[in-house]
Amino acid sequence: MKVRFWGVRGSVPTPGPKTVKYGGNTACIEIRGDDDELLIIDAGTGLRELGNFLISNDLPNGPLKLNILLTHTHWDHIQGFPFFGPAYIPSSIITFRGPVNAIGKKLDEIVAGQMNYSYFPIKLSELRAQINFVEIREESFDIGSFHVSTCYLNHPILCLGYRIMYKNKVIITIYDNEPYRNIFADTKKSNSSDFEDQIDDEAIKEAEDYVYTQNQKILDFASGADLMIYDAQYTSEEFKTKIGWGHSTIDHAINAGISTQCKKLALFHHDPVRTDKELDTLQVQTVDKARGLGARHMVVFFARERLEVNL
Amino acid sequence: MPELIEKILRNIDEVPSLPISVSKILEVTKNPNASPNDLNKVISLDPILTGKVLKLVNSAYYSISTKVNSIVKAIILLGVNTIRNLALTTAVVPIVGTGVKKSWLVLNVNGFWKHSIGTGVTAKMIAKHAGIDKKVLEEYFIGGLLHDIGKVILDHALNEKYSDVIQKSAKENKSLIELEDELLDINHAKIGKLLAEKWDLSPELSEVINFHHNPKECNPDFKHLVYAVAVANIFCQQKKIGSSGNMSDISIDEEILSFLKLREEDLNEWEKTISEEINKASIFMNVQ
Repeated sequence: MKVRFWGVRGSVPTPGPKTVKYGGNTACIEIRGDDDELLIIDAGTGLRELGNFLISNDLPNGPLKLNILLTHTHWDHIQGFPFFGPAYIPSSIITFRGPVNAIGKKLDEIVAGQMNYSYFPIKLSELRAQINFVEIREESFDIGSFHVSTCYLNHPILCLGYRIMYKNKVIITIYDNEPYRNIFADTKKSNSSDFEDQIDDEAIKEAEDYVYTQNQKILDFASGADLMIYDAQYTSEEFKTKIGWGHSTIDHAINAGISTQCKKLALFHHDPVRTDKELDTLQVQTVDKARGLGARHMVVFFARERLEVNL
Repeated sequence: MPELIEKILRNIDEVPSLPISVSKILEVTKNPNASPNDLNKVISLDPILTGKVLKLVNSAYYSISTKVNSIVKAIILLGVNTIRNLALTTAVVPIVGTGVKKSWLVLNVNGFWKHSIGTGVTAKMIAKHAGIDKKVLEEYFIGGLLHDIGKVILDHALNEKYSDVIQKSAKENKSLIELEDELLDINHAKIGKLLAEKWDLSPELSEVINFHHNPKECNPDFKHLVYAVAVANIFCQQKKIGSSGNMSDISIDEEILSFLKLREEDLNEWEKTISEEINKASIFMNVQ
C-alpha cells in the first residue's frame, strides 16, 4: 500500500518561493492499495493535481470510481473539488463521505455552496460525473478492501479522524484536532453569584473527567498505526494564542505518536506562515525531541507534497 | 395502540420550552460569545430544553457510542457553538410555531418548573449524602429535572381533558397518576418514558421517568438513581416546593429511605437549602 501526499498545508493555500519544498496546497491524501484500489482523504487544493494524475495514470485502465473521505467541510478541505478533472468526465463516479452537523446544511449543499455561480462558473449539478454524497458519523464501513472506522475529533465543527485498515496495515488521520480541554475552567467568571459559582464548580469537575475520557478515546482509536498523519499546525509557543482554534502542536503530535505506538508519524496541516526553512529546522528538532522522549523506533517527519510512503 | 396515545405521540416533538425561561435562553444563546458555563446553566435549568438538546446529541444523527447524559458533556463533545445553535433552534422554533399561551393551559408553569428544579436539587443532595461518585452527580439532577416531563406532553396534547384530571385529583385527594390511568388509560410516567426513548435519552433517565412513582419495580442496575429521584419528588410535594399538579398526600417508603441511608430528618434539614437553591435559580433565569 502506498500513501501519497498531494496537499499538506492547513487553512489556506500558500504558494510562493518559501514553500516550494513542502508545498502550498491544502489537505489532500491519496491512499493506493496493491491492486490500485484508491481512497482519497480530503479535497483541499491538492486535489487538483491528484485529479490530473488520475486522468493520466488510472483513466486509461477504465472509468474512475473514486471515494473521497472528508474529515470535515472547512474550506481548506473541500476547495480543490471544483478543479478536480475527473468530475468533468461522464464515466467517473465520485462518492463523498463526510460529517455534518444536525442543524445546518447537508453535505451536498455544503460542497455545492462553493460552486454557487457567484464564486464559480459551473454548478455542482452541471458536472458530468456521477457524484454521490453520504453523510457519516462515528461508524465503520468497507470501501472495497479498505476497512474504515471513524472517530469524532475536537474542532470547531464536526470533524472525523479516520482509521483505515488494508491487509493488516493501519493508517490513521488525526487532524484537524485540538486536544479536548476543560473549557469550563477556562471561562469561569470571577464575579458570579454563589449560585452560579456552585453550578460552575460542579461543571468544572464533571468536565475534567470527561475531557480525559475523550482524549483517551482518540488515543485508543489511533493505537498501533503503521502511519499516523497528525495535526501539527503550531509550535507550543504559537499555540498559546491559538487555543480553541481546533489544532494541535508538534509536541501534541509527538506525544500522541509515542502513546499510540505508531511506527511512522507524519506531521501534517502546516501553518501557512511556516516556511521551508523553518520546517527543515523543526524537522531536526522534532526528531531529537522524539528520541529524547524515548521514541527510538518511531519515524517522525513533516509531510510534504508528492512524498510517497510505502507501507 | 389506543388512539389517544397515538395522538399524543404524534405531537411529541412539538412540546414547547417553558415560557418562563425563554427570555434568558434567548439572551444567552443569541450571544455569539456565550461561555460554556452560561450555556450550561441556562440549558440545565430548563427541563424541556435539556431533554431536547440531549435528544439531538444522542440521536442517530451523531451516533455517539456512549450516551451523553449531561449538558456539560454535550458542550465538551460538540462545542459551544453547536450546542448554542441546537438550544437556540429548539427553544425558539416551537414557541414561534405554536404560540406559548395556547400550549400551556393546565399546568402552572412556574410551579411545574420549581417542582422540577426542586426535585433535581434534592436528588443531587441525596446522591452527595450517599457519597456517590462526583462524575455522576449531574445524572441525579437531570433525573429530577426530567422526571415529570410526561406531564408537559399530556398538558400540551390534551389541554382541557388533562385539566379535568388534575382538578379531580385535587378535589378527591387522589393521586394524579392513578387518575391519569383511570381516565386517560395512560399516565405521565409512561408517556415520559416513551418520550425518553423517542429522544434517545440514556436508559437511566428513561428508567427514572418511568418508575419515579413505583421505584421498587425499576431495573436494579439503576435502583439508587430511581430511588433518589422518587424520594426527592415526594419530599418536594410534601413541602410544597413548586407544584407538580399532584395534590394528594403521600409519604416516603421507609425501605427506600433505608436503602438510600437517609433519614427524614436529613431531608427536613435540607429544606432551607433547597428553597434557597430554587430562589437563586429563579433569579438567574429571571423567573418571577
